[in-house]
Amino acid sequence: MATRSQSPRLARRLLARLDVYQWNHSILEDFDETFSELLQSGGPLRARCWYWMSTVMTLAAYLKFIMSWRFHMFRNHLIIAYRNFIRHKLFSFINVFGLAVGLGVCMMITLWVLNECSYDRFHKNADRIFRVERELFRDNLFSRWPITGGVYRQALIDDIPEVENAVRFWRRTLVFKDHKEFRRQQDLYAADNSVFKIFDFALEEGDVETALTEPMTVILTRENASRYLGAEDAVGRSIPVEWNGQMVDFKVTGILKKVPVNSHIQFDTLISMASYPKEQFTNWRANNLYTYVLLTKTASKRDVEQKFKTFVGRRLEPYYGDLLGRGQAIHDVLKMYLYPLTGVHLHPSANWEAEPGGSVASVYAFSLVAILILIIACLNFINLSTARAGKRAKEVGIRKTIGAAERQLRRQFIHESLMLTFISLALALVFGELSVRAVNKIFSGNLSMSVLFEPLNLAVIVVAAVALGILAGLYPAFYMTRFEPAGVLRGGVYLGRAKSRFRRNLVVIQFAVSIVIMIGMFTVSRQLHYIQTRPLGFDKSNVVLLQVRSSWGATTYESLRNELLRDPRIYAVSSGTDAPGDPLYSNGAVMRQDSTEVINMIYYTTGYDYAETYGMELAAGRAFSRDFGTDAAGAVMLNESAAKRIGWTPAEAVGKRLILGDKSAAAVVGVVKNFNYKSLRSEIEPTIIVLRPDVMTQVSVRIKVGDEEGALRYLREKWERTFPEDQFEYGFLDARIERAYEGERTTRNIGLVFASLSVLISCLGLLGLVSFTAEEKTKEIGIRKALGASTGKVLLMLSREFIKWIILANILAWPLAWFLMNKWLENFAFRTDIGWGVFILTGILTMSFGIITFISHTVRAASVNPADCIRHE
Amino acid sequence: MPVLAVREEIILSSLLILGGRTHAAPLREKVVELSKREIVYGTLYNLLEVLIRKGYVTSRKSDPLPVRGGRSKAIYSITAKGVRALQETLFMHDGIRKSIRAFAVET
Repeated sequence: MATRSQSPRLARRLLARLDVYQWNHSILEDFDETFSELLQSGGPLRARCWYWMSTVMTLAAYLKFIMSWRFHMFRNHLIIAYRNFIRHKLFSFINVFGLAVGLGVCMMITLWVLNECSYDRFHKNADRIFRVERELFRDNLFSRWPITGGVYRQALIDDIPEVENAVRFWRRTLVFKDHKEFRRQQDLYAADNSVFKIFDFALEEGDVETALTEPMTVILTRENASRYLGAEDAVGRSIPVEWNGQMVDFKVTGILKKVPVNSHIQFDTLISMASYPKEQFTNWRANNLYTYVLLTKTASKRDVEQKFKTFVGRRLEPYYGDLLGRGQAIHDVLKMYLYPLTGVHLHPSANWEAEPGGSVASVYAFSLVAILILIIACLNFINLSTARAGKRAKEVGIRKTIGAAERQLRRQFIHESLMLTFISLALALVFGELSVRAVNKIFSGNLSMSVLFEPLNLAVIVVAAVALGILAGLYPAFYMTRFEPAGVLRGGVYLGRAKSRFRRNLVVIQFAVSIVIMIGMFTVSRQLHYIQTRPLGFDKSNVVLLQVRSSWGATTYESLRNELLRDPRIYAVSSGTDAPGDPLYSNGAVMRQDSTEVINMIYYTTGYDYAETYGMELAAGRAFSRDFGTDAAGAVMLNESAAKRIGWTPAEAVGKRLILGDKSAAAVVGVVKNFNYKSLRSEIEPTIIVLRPDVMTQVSVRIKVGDEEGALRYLREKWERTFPEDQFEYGFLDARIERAYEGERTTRNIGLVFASLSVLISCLGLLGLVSFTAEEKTKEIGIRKALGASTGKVLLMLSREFIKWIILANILAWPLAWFLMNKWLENFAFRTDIGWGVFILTGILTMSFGIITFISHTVRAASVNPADCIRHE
Repeated sequence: MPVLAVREEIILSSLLILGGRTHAAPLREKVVELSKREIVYGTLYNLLEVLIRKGYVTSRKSDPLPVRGGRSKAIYSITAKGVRALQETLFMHDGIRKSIRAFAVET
């Protein structure tokens, strides 16, 4: 036929695919007819144009038609799904609840992870800001020093053209006098004015160009300003600050906008760096403040670090000669590098970090847990959906007989799964909203669900939910649509053995994953318990720490001490600058008299009675004592590892003399047993305790066990009488040490919650499976009972199989859990072993959970009157 | 009896004009003629599909055409129900026209 050969072939083929139209219409014939007419009246070009245009527009019309038709089907599917949901309330509830819990947990963890990763990203220049850090080689290991001296900043700007700007942050604690003439301790940073050029910290009032340029200026948050100045306008007024023993007026030049919580630098008050005389920042060996640099847009980190080598050689080498051994170059012991601002929070330095920081390991661990829980929840969902298949088989059979294609049925089941997923999602959001406060407490964070409702995140969630729904619906969809209508409608066997093996495998995997999570949780708890109860080398309980004002001298302290010791409830009093558990401590050189080797040690500067107050045990010699006049002339104590490092046994050390960093000599009067001043994550480093009765920032008081309340009251009374102007501020040593383990405690708490949730979800899966099996075996149970089996025997018979599965899950999970937890434990210098108990305990726990779930469901099936269930079919 | 939509009305009218029984090509031409607007087959099929569901039109395949490889065409016929619906709609139009005229005279 002439017309047909001339009509566009591609368009014809497209049209031929519009199957739904073919039922009632004859597309190709209709098109051909009009085409041949046009061919005669308007010529081939016009006809072909018409053919193509009509094809395209018909395609569009067809799509519209199909969509509306699909929509009707979708509505129908939803109605069917709803009816099924209502008919099997418990089952549907279990299904949706399990998924909702999984999604909720996932959401919470995602929120937390997002929050952890958002640290310091709010700065516009975040990717160009770096912290200048150094690595020092000391006692055969490199240690990271995030702090530098004050002299670095200008030198960096001068020497390295890529450094656009730099700022110093110096942590200080000053005493401010408020408008009621009360003195308060204020933690703050001294900073350069360039802070506003580099970071996005902002002022609510005041000029960012000049706020911190003048000496004796202060900027503070509105909240803080009203604390010190009352409610009135703060800018332009001044606050008296204790400065080198006198009260000096600091002028308020600005009101600081609150620092975002996700900043690793936290402050509510800044004073100008210019308040300190320039001479204070000339020492290249000083390590006391943080230096941040802003690189130019074109600079690369690597180039700058290359230039640091020259910088170290030129500027630092002259001052670090004493650290060099024979034949060593400065680059062997000291390395200077840039640390990206956005990495500081998740990779904090072990030492000299002002804020506790996060842990990238927990971010990974919890992301993993989130994924695992989501997998469990999905498996559970798939499992429960397929387990219900028997109940839906008749529906499928009838639909098929009426003429539904498998494809359409599959679509139906996927629609159903989508509906359940979205119900779960809604439920999960409700859970999230309800639990976000509790979660904030355990995560010690401030998460907000509102983040999830930002358009982009919401879109991601919806897309993820759709993907999840389709994925979870896929297996049931393919499985259930395969039923043969004839067999199903006759009520015959529609469930092959292979199918139930698949479901069994799912349950085993679910259980295995929960077991891994449970073992993880137990190990974290065990490790935490281990490090918290391990002897610290000192007695952390009942030590009260009082903050000291700089205006005090040694005489004030002595009188307070004598006053306090008069009360029998107070056991010992000591002064000093360092207490175990402080995150910051100093570090210096020590030399033997007969050797030129320089040994770097942790320095503790303390007063008399230090060992008594902290309950430290002596390995040899004695503690500092007023009774020995020689002590005042220079006395030190070592810890065991310091003595070992020098090459002495504790007994040998006593009586020897050492040269300290400032070239003064001191006698070793005693050696204390090793004590832990940092978290037990790290090894105990060589430490020297130097007696300096005149230097103190805090007073420690050991009170006797019994009447702690009374002792505290007495302390407060004496304090207020001695220093009427100062507020009584105190803290307990054990509370301070507890804080060092906050990260582990958080991990444990979260782990506990997650482990319980994962076990819960797995048990739901088991419940689904059990109910399914029990139903399948109703007839068998009935016959067995009719033949004389007792309920107990039937239960035993049914449970034998489940017990086998749980044992299998345990066997699968143990090696994996053992491997993972050993990896985690390697983070700790002092660690417990995993122990067989944990494995056996989880085994017993999962077993009993499984059996409880099992029994609670099968008892009903087993106790039914056999006559009823045999008649069942 | 529900009132027809304008496009349904045009299709039913065209079908009636063409003798109540025809296939898609003449029907389309008539519809274009009556409505003075181009209409593609897809849109026509969609409307016919609606009319078939409502029971105003039936469709059946004709015998194969008497050419080599000739296939059957779909033949649409208007049902009695369709005729009644069309009448009713046309009556309604008349009523409206009359009241509008009366209104126009008054003012």
